[in-house]
This record gives sequence, structure tokens and C-alpha cells, in this order.
Amino acid sequence: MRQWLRSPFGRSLAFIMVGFTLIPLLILTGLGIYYMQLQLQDRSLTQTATVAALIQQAISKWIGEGKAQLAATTTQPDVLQNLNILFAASDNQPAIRKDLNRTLFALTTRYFAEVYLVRPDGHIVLSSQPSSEGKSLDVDLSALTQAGKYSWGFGESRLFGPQVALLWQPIRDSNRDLIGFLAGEISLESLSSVIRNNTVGMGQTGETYLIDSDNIPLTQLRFPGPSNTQPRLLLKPLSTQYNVNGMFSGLFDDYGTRPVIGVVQPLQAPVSASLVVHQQQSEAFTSLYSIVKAALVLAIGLMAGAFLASILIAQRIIHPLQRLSEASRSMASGDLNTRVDVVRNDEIGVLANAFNQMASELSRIFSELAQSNNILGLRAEQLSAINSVGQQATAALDLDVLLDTIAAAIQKTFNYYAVALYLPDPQETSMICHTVAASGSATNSQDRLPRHELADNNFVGAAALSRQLINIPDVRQDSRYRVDPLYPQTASEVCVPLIFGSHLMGVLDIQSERLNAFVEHDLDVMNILAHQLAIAIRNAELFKDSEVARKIADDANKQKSEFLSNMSHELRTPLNVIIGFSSSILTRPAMYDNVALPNVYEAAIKGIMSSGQHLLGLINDILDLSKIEAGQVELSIEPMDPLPIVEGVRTTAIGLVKPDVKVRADYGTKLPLIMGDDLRIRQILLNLVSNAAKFTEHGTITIDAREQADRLLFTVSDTGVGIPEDAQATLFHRFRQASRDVNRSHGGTGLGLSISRQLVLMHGGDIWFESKPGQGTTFFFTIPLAPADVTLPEPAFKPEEISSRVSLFEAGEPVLKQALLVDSDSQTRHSLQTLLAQRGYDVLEADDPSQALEMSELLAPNLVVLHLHRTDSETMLRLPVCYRETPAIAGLSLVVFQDLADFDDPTVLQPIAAFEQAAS
Amino acid sequence: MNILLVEDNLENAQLFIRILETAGYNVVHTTRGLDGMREAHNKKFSAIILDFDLPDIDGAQIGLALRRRIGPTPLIALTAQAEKVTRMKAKAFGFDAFISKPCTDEDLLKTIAVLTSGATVAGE
Repeated sequence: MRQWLRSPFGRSLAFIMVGFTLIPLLILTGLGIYYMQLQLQDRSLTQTATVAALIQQAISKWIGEGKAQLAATTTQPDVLQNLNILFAASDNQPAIRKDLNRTLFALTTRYFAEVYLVRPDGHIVLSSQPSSEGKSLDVDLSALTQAGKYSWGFGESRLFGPQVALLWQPIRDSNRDLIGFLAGEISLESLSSVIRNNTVGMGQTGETYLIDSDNIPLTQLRFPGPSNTQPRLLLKPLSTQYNVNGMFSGLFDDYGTRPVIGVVQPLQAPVSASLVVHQQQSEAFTSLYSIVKAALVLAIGLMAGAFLASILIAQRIIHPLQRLSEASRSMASGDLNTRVDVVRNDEIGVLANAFNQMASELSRIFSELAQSNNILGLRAEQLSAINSVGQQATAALDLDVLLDTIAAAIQKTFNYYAVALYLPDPQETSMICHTVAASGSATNSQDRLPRHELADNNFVGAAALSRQLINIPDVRQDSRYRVDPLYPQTASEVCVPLIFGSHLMGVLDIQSERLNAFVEHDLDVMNILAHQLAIAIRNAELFKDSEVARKIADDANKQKSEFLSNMSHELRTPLNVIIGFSSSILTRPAMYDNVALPNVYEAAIKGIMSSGQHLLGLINDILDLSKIEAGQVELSIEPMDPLPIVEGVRTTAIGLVKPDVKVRADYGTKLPLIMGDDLRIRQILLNLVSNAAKFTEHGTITIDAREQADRLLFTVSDTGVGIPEDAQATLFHRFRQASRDVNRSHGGTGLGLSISRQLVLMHGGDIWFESKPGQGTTFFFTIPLAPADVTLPEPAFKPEEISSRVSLFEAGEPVLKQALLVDSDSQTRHSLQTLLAQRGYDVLEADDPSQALEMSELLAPNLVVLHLHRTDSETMLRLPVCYRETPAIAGLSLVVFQDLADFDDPTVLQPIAAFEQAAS
Repeated sequence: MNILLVEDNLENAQLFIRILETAGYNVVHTTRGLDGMREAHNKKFSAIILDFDLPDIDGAQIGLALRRRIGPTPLIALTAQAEKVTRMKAKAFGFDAFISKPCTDEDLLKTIAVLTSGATVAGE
């Protein structure tokens, strides 16, 4: 049921079924009820009208009888006589009164409640009720009689109250003159019973009564309400119709506001009363209500029937469809074993069958697909494993690391019992195991690595000899097998030779705990792995060789640099003497007591001097170049003003050029800041200028510097010999000069341009030249400008420029602290020296007591650190006492350590820190 | 004016002494750093010239100790270590000037002149 309601189809079906039965039924029922009501209404109205007519007839008859009685009374001669006497007499006439009274009383029996004799002016002469006598009727009877039209009616009387019905009979004397009236007040009870008695076929609620002109009931009511007030007929008809007599008929509410159907029939005029006949609608339409009830029951029944019918249809159609759609859904979500258990012969059965066939076909295809997918997945896994092992193989260049990594990777990736790698020994007589990786169940031991003869009597040797893969499905069946106590579980084994070209690089030995563990697939994988491994091992060996070579080369290079640096230093000291003495001999006779130099020596001394200078140039250039090549030159590039440098070089150039050559400067008085190392910029510029000076016999050397984009372009142009075209291409190469002749005549190492070029490039600039042989050469180089917003701080101390060899510093307190470290052991001394240097100390070192004391006294360092050893001499061990007892050094900050071992312990320096804190 | 020259190479020392004496300075020469230090304690010098490569102690370290102990006497480093890093070291160790060898007599004399004139103005 719930399923059926969930199904959209089921819901639609139910709606359609119910709709198609219920709606026409409701319409038809409605129409039927409407027409039936009209008919019932008609019938009821006809009936009430008939009843009304009957009653009216009865009333007329009853009134007529009343009148006839009155008339009959007046026509009786004795009564008439008495009446004449009474009306004529002025006195009481008691006898006659008594007689007439009897007559009047007799009249009150059936029709009248009270009968009186009235004079024409309304004065009551005699009444059946003596209390009324002497009173007056409020009715102008004579006027009524003259009109002669009616003989009865209702009228209001002050005397008798509002509801009075009177019948009257004029009394005439013998002259036909009106002397009075005989009037009878109609008994409403009697009239009511007349009406009631004539009321037939009005059912339980039928009612007939009279109303006055104000619709107030006059006669007895059948269902008087609880209200004390005078009830009123409420004429609020739902529908009305009037017949020719002015009869009102239709649906209205009665005096008790009950809905009724009936007629209001006015009595004959001028009697202002109407006869009301009605029946309550509930009764009048009883049959209609039962029909409505029946229709409702029918409708509900039909609805239920339609509902049930739709359920039944749903059972037949929707359920199987639903099962089918559920099955397709579950199949779509992957459950291929879904089947539909619908066993029927109709279209749905066919559909279900088709579905089941399709499902089994799908599941068959799917399982085949899954199977091949599995195989593919396995392949992919193996390939990715090979790949990862291969990557590790090629990533590691250190042979030992490589072998360990590979063995572990293969073991882990394929989960083998043990994986070992063997390399041949240099003599290729045996295979040596380099590494074994074993699973958790095996002993993973690198301590005792086996070695196998390169022979057929073992697996590894056989594989290496034959250069073929050997697969032993069951090692116990093979005579070559020897149990390895470390890997006793081995059941099957594969040995793969690693071949590179024609070289045997090694053997990969793989062991498994299972029999027949290695299938064709595995062997394929191993062959691929073995190939990659062979390459990797080969690479590692080559790398090892090249590493050794590189290390040797590095060491050699370092040694060369050190050597050059030392040599430079060692050469400079004697050169200072050579150049210093020779130049002073030539230029400062005052230094030699003004003894004149004999001319014969002058050329020789000059030769010594210029050779010394040449040698110095060579040393500087060689040192520079070797440092540049070793990457040891570190430029301190910062914003700088190039003007003083250019200006300085220009001044120097004036002293360098030949007599016939002028030096011109084209730059102005202000140059932009550049990013450079001032010493190096000077070196480059000076090199170019001295080159120009060297090669220019006459003419001009022009130095210029100008801004060009984000660079400063320096130019040095000359009118010299120029550079031969065949030499231009290699000009910046090392040891090049235009020609050997030039070299001889002009000196120089030929390194200057090469160095300059390197230095310019290190600044991020460019260097080039333009030259025409015989006309001159122009060298250009560029240096990046400093950012526009950089300004040089105004130096507080502007050192006077003396020469490039002299640097003057701003005077100031040195920030460095100085420590004296006394330690007889050079190794621990070195460790402590490092620690102290890290704390910002310049460290003086001493290893014997006298030296320590001398230094302490003379230098008074900020800190003295004594490191004493048990093995030290007695004087050394007495040093702390010496320090305490010698007044000159007693005030020094002294820290004494004894047999320090752990210099990584941060607490070692705590005493030092304490001193520092006290000092600060 | 007294000049202290600490220089272990005798030929160089002879050259410098000759230059300085010719220029009118009174030169005290030591080859060991500690001896120079002792001299500096005993006598007042207008300028002190230190070689860096001394047999006992690095001349730069002598300079640092001198700067700490004897105040603002001009200290001149005169060394064949011509690299820029050595110049920086001289500055850090409190020297007033650095001269790389080989140098001219002018380099030396002008430097002393500049430093001592400044000292005179600042000192007395």
C-alpha cells in the first residue's frame, strides 16, 4: 500500500479513478437534489394551498353558522319583542333582561365566547357576561352596517383587548329602523378547533393558524416558543409566489424562526386576518434528505471502490514495474546480481525476463572485465614497483647506498623472504654479497655476508657464469643448495645476473618461503629490474670514479689558491724592499746622506725598479685571476659615487701617459650613484687607462662616464695603435696581447682585460670595444646605477686620498673583545678557540706558561681562559696561583677549566658568561 | 716625533727606518709583537706602525691590545696581505690606517702626517 502510494503512477491512477467516478456522481446528485427539491416544494405548496382552501371554507361555513344563529335569534318574535322593549325602554326592565340574558347565554355555547346587545353607539346594554354591561364597544357598528358589506371581523377594542372577533346582527324595529345590535364575540378556541379539525395531511409539523395584519398569530399555536413576548410570523421567504388572490406561498420562517414551507391566505376583505398553513421544511423535504444521504453513501462507496480498483491495478502493473525499476537502480549502483522475480505471461513478464537476461549478461561481462582489470592492476603494480625501484636505483649514486636501497626496495615491494645483491670481486673469482634485505621473519643480518665461488656448484655462481637467469622452484630438490642458517625458510630461489654491455655487474638473488614462488610474470619483472640495476651500478661506479677525480681536482685547486695567496704575500715583502730601495735611491738622495748616485748605476737601479713593479703587476693579476676562477672574489657592491674614482684614475693617467699624449676628461662635475665595489671599479678603469697609455704614442686619451638608461657607461678611448682585427675576437681571453712584440715592448701579463671583463660581469655590467688598427681603440663598460632614491650618507670622516695602497679609517673604539686562551693541547685549544670566537672574542693563544704570563701582562686581555690538563707541567698547573699572586695580572678576568671533554655542553661557557655579565 | 715600527723583515725595516729617519722621525724598531707592546708601554709614540705577519703574535691583535691599553695613538697597519678582507680586519681591530706592501715612501709619510696632524689638533 505504501509502495503503491509512493509510486507516482499509482497516485495518478488513484486520482483518475476517484475523479472519474466522484465528480460526475456529485454533479448528477446535485442536479437531482435540486430538481427534486423544486418538485417537493411544488407539491408541498399545492398541498398547503389545498388545506388552506379547505380551512377557509370551514371557517366560512363556521362563521355562516354563527351568523345564522344570531340571525335566527333575532328573528324569533318573542326575542325581537323583548329586544324592542329593552332598547326602547329607558329603565332596567329586569324581567326582560333576565329573559334576554338567558337567550344570550344560550348563544355562547358553540360559537361565541360572549354575546351582547349593543346600542348603535356601541353601548353594551346586556351581555352574557354581566361585567361587560354598561361598557362601550370601540367599534362604530352603525357605520359598518351602513356599509353593509361584512358581518364579522376582528377589531381592536379597548374593552376586550386586541384580539376580538365579532359577529353581529342588526336589530331593527317594526319600522325597519336600527335600534341595536346583537353581537357575538367569536370563541377563538372554537375557531382554532375548526381550523385544526380541518387541517389534514400536514404531517407531524404541519400547522394552521390565523394571523392579524401585524403577522401576530390569533389562534392557538401548535409549537409556541418559550418566549413570553407575542410571537410573530416571520415572512422572509426564500422563494415566493403569489396567486391571483394575493395568497403568499413559499419558503419562510415561522414565528419560532423555524424554516417552513406553506401559504399565507388572507381572509375575505375587509377582514384583516390571514390564514397561515405551513409545514416545517425538515419534514416537507424528508424524502429529499434521505435521497441526499443515499447519494452520499453511494458516492463514498463508489470512491472506495475506485480506490480499491486503483490498488488492484497497481498491484498488477505498478508493483512489477516498481520492482523492475528498483532492480535497475540497484544494478546501476553496481549490484549486478539483482534479478526480478516476476513470473507472468503478459508484457510485464516479458519485460522482467528481458531484464533478467540483460542483468546476467552484464554480470558476466563485468566479471570478465574485473578479471582482466585485476591482471592489468597487477601488471601496473609491478611496473610501478619496477619504476620506483628503478628511480631509487638511478637516484642513488653512492654504490653502497644504492645496493642497500635497491635490495630493501625489492624486498619490500614484492614482499620476498630475502633479497641479496652480489658483486664480483676484482679478480672475478667469486661473487661477494654486499647487502641482504630480509622480511621480518628472517634474520636481517649484515654482519656475515656470504661469498660464493664463481662456479657451477652454487646458484649465484652459476647465474654469473652462465649469464642466464636461474629459477629453482624447489631448492631442496637441487643438489647445489646449501642451507643458509640465517635464511632457513628458503623454499624457492631465483638468481638473476646483472649484465651491462658485456660486463657482469653482479647477481640479484631473490629467495621465497614458498615453493614455486616465481611465475613467468615475476621472472619478467626481475629481468627488467636486473637491467636497470646493472645500469645503476655502472653509473654508481662511474660516479665514484668521477667523484674521486673531482675531489682531487678540488683539492688541487684549493691548494693552488692557497699557494698563490701565500706566494703573493711572500713575494710582496721582498718586492717592497726592491722597489722601495731602488726608487728611493733614484728619487730621495736625502735618505742616503745626499751622496750622489754615480751615473753608471742609474740605468741599473731603474731596471731593478721597473722590473720590480712589473713583477708586482704580474703577481696582482695572477692572484686576481686565480681568485676569480676559484670563485673566491667577493665584491662588496653598494651604492657609491664614481666621481672620485674616475677623477683619481684621471690623475694617475696623467703620470702614466707618454709625453706627447694628452689626457682629456669629458665627464662633468657630477655623476649618478652606481652599485659597485669601489676598489674593483678603480681597478677596471685603471686597467683600461693604463692599457691606453701603454699603446698610445701621441694624441689623446679620453675618459668619459655618462648615464645610459639604468647604467653608467664608462668609456676610455685612445688614438693609439688600435687592435689588429685578427686579435679582436680573443682580446678578452687570458694571456692574449695583440702580438708578442707588443708584449715584449709593453710588458704586462695579458691578464688585465680578462680580469676586467670578469669584474664587470660580476657587477652585472657589460664590456666591449671598438677599434681600428692605426687609428685607436675605445673601450666601453657599463655598471648598474643605484636606485634613484638612494643617497650616500655624508661620511663623518672623510679620509684624505693618498694612494690606492692606503686606506684611512674613521677613528673609533674597537668593538672587539680580546681573550687569551692558554691550553697546552692544540686540539682542545682549537675547540675552545672556536667557542670563544663565536662569542665575539678575538682569541690570542698561548701553550706555555711564560708566554701566557707575558701576554697577559703586556696585552691585558678582557678575558683569560686557562684550560689545564692533568698531564700539564707543574709550572702550567701553577698558573692560577701565579695569576692570583702577580699584582700586574691579578685583576684580569680569569676562567680556569680542568680537563674539559664535552665542548658541545652549553654549560661549559657559563663562567665566562658570568664574567661578561659582571663586566657589562 | 717618536715612531714605533714593529716589522720582522729586516730589509723592509731598514728601508722604512731610513725613510722615516730621513723625514725626521725618531724610530724605535722591534721584530716581535710583544716587544713592541713593551716599548709602547714604556714610551710615548706619535704613531705606531705594525706589520701583521709577526713571529710571535698577529700584528692586528697587538693593535687591538694597544688600542685598548694606550688610547688614541695612531695605529698604522703595514702588511703584504693586500686583500680587502685584511683592510677590513685592520679597521675592525682599531687601526687608523692600512697600507699594503709594497708601498712608496710617500704612502707612508703622508699617512703619518695626516694621522699625527689630526692627533695634534684633537689631542693638545
